[in-house]
Amino acid sequence: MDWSAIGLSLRLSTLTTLLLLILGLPLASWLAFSRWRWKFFVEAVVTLPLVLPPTVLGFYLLIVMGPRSPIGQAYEAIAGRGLPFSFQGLLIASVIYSLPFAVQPFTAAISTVDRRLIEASWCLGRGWLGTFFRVTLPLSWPGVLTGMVLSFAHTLGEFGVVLMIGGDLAGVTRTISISIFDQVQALDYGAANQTALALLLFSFLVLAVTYGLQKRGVAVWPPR
Amino acid sequence: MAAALTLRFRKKFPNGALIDADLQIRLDPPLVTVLFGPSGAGKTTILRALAGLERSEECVIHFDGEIWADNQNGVFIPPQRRRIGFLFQDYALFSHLTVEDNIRYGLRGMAANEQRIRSSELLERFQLRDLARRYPDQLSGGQKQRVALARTLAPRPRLLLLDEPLSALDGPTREAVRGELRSLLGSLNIPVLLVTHDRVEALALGDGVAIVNEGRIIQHASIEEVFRRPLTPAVAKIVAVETVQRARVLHVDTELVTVAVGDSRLIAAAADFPSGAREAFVCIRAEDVLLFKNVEKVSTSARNRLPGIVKSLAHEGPMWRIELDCGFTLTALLTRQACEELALQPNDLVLAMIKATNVHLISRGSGL
Repeated sequence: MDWSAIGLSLRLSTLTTLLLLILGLPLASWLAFSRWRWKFFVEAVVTLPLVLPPTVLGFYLLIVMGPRSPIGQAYEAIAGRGLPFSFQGLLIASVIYSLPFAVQPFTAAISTVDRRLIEASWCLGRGWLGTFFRVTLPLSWPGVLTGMVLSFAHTLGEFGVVLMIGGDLAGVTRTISISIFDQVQALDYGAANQTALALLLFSFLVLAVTYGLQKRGVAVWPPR
Repeated sequence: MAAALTLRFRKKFPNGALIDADLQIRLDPPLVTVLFGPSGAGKTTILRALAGLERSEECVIHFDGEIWADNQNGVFIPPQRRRIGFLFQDYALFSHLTVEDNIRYGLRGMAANEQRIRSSELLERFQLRDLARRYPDQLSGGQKQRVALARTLAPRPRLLLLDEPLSALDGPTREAVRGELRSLLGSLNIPVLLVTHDRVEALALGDGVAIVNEGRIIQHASIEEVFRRPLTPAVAKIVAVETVQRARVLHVDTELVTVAVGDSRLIAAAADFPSGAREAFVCIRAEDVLLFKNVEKVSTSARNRLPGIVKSLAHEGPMWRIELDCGFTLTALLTRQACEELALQPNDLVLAMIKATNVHLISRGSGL
């Protein structure tokens, strides 16, 4: 079994999920509450990774991160090396690729929070941020958890974008799905089966535990 | 200038509704002002504007020398810094927090032991001690209302805004809570603005009343003044004056005005009725109409004695509502006992008595 690929995939998924939590929650709150007339434009952009083939997304990300783009050049000047075929580049791509899987459940959950509870919090002296952490987030956490699980699982299974951005560098960008692909290419079906089965069981376990926790969590907090 | 709250708020809504409200309230002594009017008149919007929850391109609010909003000068103080208490119609309790944590929610600025003392004070005062660890979903309607009030009052607001505080309660609870609320509001010593469309609630809870109709405040005075002496027929309709009739003005002198409604004559106290007016609306509250059957027994100083025929009798709560034909339709409200003593039946002939001071006139044009 390719333990280094499994470790890399877990690291990538965890970091992607955390980044999506940090970036996705403000974005989702904005989407839930903003009355900006061009909001639909932002919604479309956020959802784009859901419908684009991973190769298309990967291709454009490669162009944007590449040494000919200003962004790629700026990163290289600061970090000393380019983004493509690095773990950092892979992380950025994963965050964008899984964006709708986090932001959509987040937004749906935050929109269902009764607006008057938020206004009540304001009238009781809590600012925007205090209200978010004391009222909005606790009341929308099942949806937030769903978004995190989906992001994690989606990143764990991604293939096309990884191949386009990261390539296949052992210990750097060779994720579990790339590793399986390699093993199949090498006609090593036994090893492929082992890794695939491990991924299948792990994914199932994560989902089962999370949904189990969530179900219990909903029952006690908030009480219904 | 005496301490006052002034509001000037104008807002057009996409559905065409327009709020165009001017309101001045003296803050000393602190009184309960009721915003009263039909549903959809804009009462809640006015309350929300005062809280800073509703913004508009034309909004000026001053409170006791402070400017809360003035869009000409780009001033807008957010709800967090107005130090007001807002009670929402369905209470808006935080369902993920216990009763005690709901009450402590607005006390963040205080030291931990002060928070404990304050919340303990409120739990005691609102008889919530035994419910402190419960969640809002485990409370009855009346209990929820007490928690919401305690939470709103905990940070010691300078102005209390109540949006239909009793409408989420069922009948019997509502009556009990109304009495408690009256004594609570009297003991608070802060100005209160209360929105309601329920006349009983307005009369029971308010010192002053502002009548809201189609987004405007059309009369603002003491409860007594507004309910007895409505300024316009629209106000008379909103405060549900039972009898409102058009009349011709026959004679005006310094004390009394004589008017004709159809063939009947009525005498009203002149108050400040304009001497040039030719036409008027006559307003008579049903509870001010006395009924007699045996004319000989009558010994009252009432100036108006109108013979009439009983058209219909109907229950209205503990009272009977009686419609008379006196040449125009006159409504009287009698206790069950009075009704039984008179043994009133439809088509009975009765004499209706009304004091001149209980006949209120609204002038229509100066007749010039």
